[in-house]
Amino acid sequence: MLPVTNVFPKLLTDKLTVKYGEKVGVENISIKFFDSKVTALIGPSGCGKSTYLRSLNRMNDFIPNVKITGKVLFSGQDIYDSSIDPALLRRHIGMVFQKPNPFPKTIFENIAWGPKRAKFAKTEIPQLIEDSLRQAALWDEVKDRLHTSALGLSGGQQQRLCIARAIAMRPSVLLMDEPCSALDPIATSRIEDLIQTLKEKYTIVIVTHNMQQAARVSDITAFFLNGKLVESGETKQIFTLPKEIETENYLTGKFG
Amino acid sequence: MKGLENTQSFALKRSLSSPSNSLSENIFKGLLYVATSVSVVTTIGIVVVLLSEAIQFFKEISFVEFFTGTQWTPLIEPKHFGILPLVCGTLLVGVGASLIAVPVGVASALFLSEYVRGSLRTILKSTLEVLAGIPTVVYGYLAITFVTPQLQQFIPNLEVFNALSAAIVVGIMIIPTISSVSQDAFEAVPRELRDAAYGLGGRKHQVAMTVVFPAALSGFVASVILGFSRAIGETMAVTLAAGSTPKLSFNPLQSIQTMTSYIVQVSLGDTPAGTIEYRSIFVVGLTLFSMTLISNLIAQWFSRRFQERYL
Ligand SMILES: Nc1ncnc2c1ncn2[C@@H]1O[C@H](COP(=O)(O)OP(=O)(O)OP(=O)(O)O)[C@@H](O)[C@H]1O
Ligand SMILES: [Mg+2]
Repeated sequence: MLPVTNVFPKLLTDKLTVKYGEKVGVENISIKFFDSKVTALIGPSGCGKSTYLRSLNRMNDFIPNVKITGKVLFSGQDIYDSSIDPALLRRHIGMVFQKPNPFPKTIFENIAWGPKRAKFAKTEIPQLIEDSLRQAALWDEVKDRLHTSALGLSGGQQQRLCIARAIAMRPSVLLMDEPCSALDPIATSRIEDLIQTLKEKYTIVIVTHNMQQAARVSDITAFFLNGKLVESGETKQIFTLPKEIETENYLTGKFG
Repeated sequence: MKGLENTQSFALKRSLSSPSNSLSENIFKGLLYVATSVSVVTTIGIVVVLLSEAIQFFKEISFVEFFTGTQWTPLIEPKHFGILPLVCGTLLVGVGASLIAVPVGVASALFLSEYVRGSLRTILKSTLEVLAGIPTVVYGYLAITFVTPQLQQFIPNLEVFNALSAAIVVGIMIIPTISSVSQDAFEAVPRELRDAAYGLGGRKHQVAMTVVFPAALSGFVASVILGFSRAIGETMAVTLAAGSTPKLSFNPLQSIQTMTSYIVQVSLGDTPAGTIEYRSIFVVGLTLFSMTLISNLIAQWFSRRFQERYL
């Protein structure tokens, strides 16, 4: 039993199926995501982790022929309802991608881009930028070069900038798709520390290929295989006492 | 020694049967070489002819008169050889055409790259490219028989031959150039940047205008310069529509003459070879060639910058 089941989930999917044309991306996935928890999605390549993650803030809308059935509820609202504005939704459910993707603009403009488009008060933006960079543990490294190109940062700094850019929107959920896969171990551990501090404020869902990372940063782990959810539960339980044999095989590396 | 006995032997030496040495390889290479030489030699030949006639020309006419004179009357007495009126007419048409083609071209490029996809995009893009296939002479008589009469209803003092109609049809003519080069630049903006922008809650027009367009800025600039150099090199439509009255004036309602139309005028006339009038078309050609060459070099410089950005 999860200790959190009596809390209202911030985000949940109910029997969610995503198809690319006739091809199944993920099938029949039901997971609940709670405030101040980090949920890790693990599983072998091609099992549908990114597909699932991108359906949580409707980033799959841009892929032609995607068909979605089942429900995604964010604070109780069905995000695929025709009355929902996906752009507004994405302001509340931020995303960090596998490859750092700063805009070819200055560091300042990178972070200010979202808030400006969302018509945040202009006077509030400089403070917002400082706060976001501090939260992303990047402020001290870039405070003297805010108006230089973001492309001049190292890969790890760029990824922290992308995290700062996402949190500047003050989202309530943060989706991260393998945020450390392009980074070295030092940059990775900085981002893992960052996730630990960010989780106080956000609901975090992170896709990772790195089992140690899932064990280190997450409270809840969901294991995907071939587009299906094999099991999900407290990370400690999944890693020590998995219920399913597939999970155990995957975690012990017996999986082919 | 043990081990060496097991060494396999590979055929590595050149031999008659190996392709690097064979006759067919050399013939093939030779054909490619000839084909390449044809265009290189032609280019050099053209430049040499232009230069040698120009040198003859400048023995009689000073650089100062040519580049600063404000009258161009080589065919009537007293003869004046100031290129400025022709440059002015050329720029009037080139800039006017760009003013029309740039907004339309960039808007359609953004529309095609950001708003439509799949087969509709292909159909629209090929339709636009059909515009580029229409013979330029058709644009010319379209200007005289349609554009000018229509405009005269609103602008009564518009002359029969005028720079405005020429600029309009040349503008339409270069839309495909600007649109397709810009579209390629917009489409080359990495998917990841759009993901980032949409992931932050951006709307389509915001992503198009504040992420895609600035990221592809240098490609866009290159498209404008390519379109512009096509416009100043355009001959047929301009000769038909704008007339042949060299004027140092930026009034688009009057007849003017561009460098290309002047060359047509002299080439079609009975000016004997070796005369100063005859030589003048080579000098005008050389001037035009330098102008398009410079704009193309600038365009290349911009595209190279653009390519480097995401490497
Ligand atoms: N745009 C697409 N069109 C068609 N099929 C797709 C598309 N994107 C993903 N798929 C398919 O959906 C399945 C799940 O892909 P997905 O990218 O979600 O896997 P993943 O678990 O994130 O893999 P990885 O760990 O390698 O990132 C795969 O079989 C993939 O081929
Ligand atoms: Mg993935």
